[in-house]
Amino acid sequence: MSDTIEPVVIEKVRHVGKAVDGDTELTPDTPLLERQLLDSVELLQLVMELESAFGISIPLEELVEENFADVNRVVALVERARERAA
Amino acid sequence: MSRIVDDLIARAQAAGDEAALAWKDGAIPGRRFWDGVAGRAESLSRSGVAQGDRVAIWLPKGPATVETLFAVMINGAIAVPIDPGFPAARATAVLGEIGPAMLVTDGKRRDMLAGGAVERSRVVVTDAMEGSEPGGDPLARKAIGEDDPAMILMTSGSTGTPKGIVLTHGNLAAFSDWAIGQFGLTREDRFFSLAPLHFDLSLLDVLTSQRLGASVYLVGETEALFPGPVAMALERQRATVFYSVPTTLQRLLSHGGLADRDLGALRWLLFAGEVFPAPVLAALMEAVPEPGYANLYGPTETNVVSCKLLDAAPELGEKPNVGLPCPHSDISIRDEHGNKLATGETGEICVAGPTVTQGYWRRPDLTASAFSDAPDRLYHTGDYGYFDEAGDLRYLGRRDRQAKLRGYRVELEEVELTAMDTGLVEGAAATVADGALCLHVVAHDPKAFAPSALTRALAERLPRYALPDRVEMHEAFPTTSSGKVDMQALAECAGGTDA
Repeated sequence: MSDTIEPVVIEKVRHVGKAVDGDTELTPDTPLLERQLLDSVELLQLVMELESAFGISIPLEELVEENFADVNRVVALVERARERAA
Repeated sequence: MSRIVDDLIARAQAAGDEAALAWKDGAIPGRRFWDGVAGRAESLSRSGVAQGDRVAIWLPKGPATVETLFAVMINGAIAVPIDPGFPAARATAVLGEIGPAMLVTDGKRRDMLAGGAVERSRVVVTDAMEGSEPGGDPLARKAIGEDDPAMILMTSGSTGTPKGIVLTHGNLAAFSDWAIGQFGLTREDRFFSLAPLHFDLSLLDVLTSQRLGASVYLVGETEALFPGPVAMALERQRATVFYSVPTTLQRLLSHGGLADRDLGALRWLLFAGEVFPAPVLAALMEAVPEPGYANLYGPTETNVVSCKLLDAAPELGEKPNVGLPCPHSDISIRDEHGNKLATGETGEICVAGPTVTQGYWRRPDLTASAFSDAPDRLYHTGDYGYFDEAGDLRYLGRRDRQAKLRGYRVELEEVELTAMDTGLVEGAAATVADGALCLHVVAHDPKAFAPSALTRALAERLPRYALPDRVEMHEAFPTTSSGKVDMQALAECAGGTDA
């Protein structure tokens, strides 16, 4: 399932991140926060876009550093939310 | 004699095992913190940094950064904190503007800088807690005057280069004295520092806390991105004083579960930097009823000059009330000729008093256009407002092109000049609507132009908060009858495609 989530997450990160465009290297383990690719507003926008793309709800408790460290962690976050919804 | 430095040295001499600084992964007691400051002060002296030299500090927020900041000031040098999130080109521009004798940074940031900027400065790379050797020599006391510069805080400049606001030791003391008296701050308080160190808000939570011998919790840059953990830290630290900006408080409320936290220890929730939307403030005051609330007002050039203590949120539609002038501030409302206006009359808000800074570092032209000396040092804020019958200052906004975006001050001309500088556009005009920045452009080659490429190029030159939320392409800009770009028409058509 994660191989279908990952491209969407990468596309959403490119969409919300002002400092990110098509040329920015973005792999599953690119450190999103350490490289300052997303700011506080963009992170919340990313959450909202993921929620509507996957029809999920990400609880506030899940909005923590560890879940956004890289694309892999965000994919895992989406998977957990989908399992809860299923 | 600098009262701030006197007080800090007295605190250093009296420091013991009580907590001074805390952060996500640790805490440091007063004794060790001041040993660290002394070690760094000694190391700065050994490196030849003299009084009056600038020392740029480009580091993430943390205990080592605060130690360095204090060491620089106590040595009589001028501390220049640089936004740790700045792209390399902008940090380089700041170094060029300030000409520091030394740059204190880390390996990652040093590698980001182009050779030239590094060669001009003597680069010292610090490591986490290097310099904090317990039991070293005590802090040496230098002859530092109240009129000597202590810090330079960088702000957006309409010329396309950031400009440095020069704060003297006396400026810092005047603000700190006022805050201590106004809010009854003591060494028992626990300050919560969420604002970055290059913001004047940190003169309360970081500088004043240590002047008092109180403790402060430092929220790191990455930690600050997540409202939930920040709200938990406020509760866990039993913070008593929190000084922030409305945008941040709003996010803590909407996405941080602030209402569910036990904030019984909080005595004061202070905010400044932008107008707090009344309904959001009302919701915050209902969700967090414990502390006293106060809206502070003043640009970085004067620090806080007025204060409105709030028992309840303002009425909808009321003109923003920024309160009574602080006792140290002489606020006047003036017309375009500099004549004072009467109560109820609208004009430019002008300020005299001991918090009014010296001006902009090595920018006599910019300083002369905003500061005057007739007969007292007067800063023309560029903010407009009036005094109401109760003596409260009412803020009505600006008539120039300085904008506030999520609490950050941005000169729209700087964004336009930087966009032109990328070579991707032949025209650029920035407008702000509902807190969002729209950059209107005329592309050199409309078929090949990608808005995201422009934003990306801007991200290499501008701070994150100054990047456009939207880029709008135009074939040509609408013009007014006099042939100027019609900014009004541009602002009205904002609201199209995503960047």
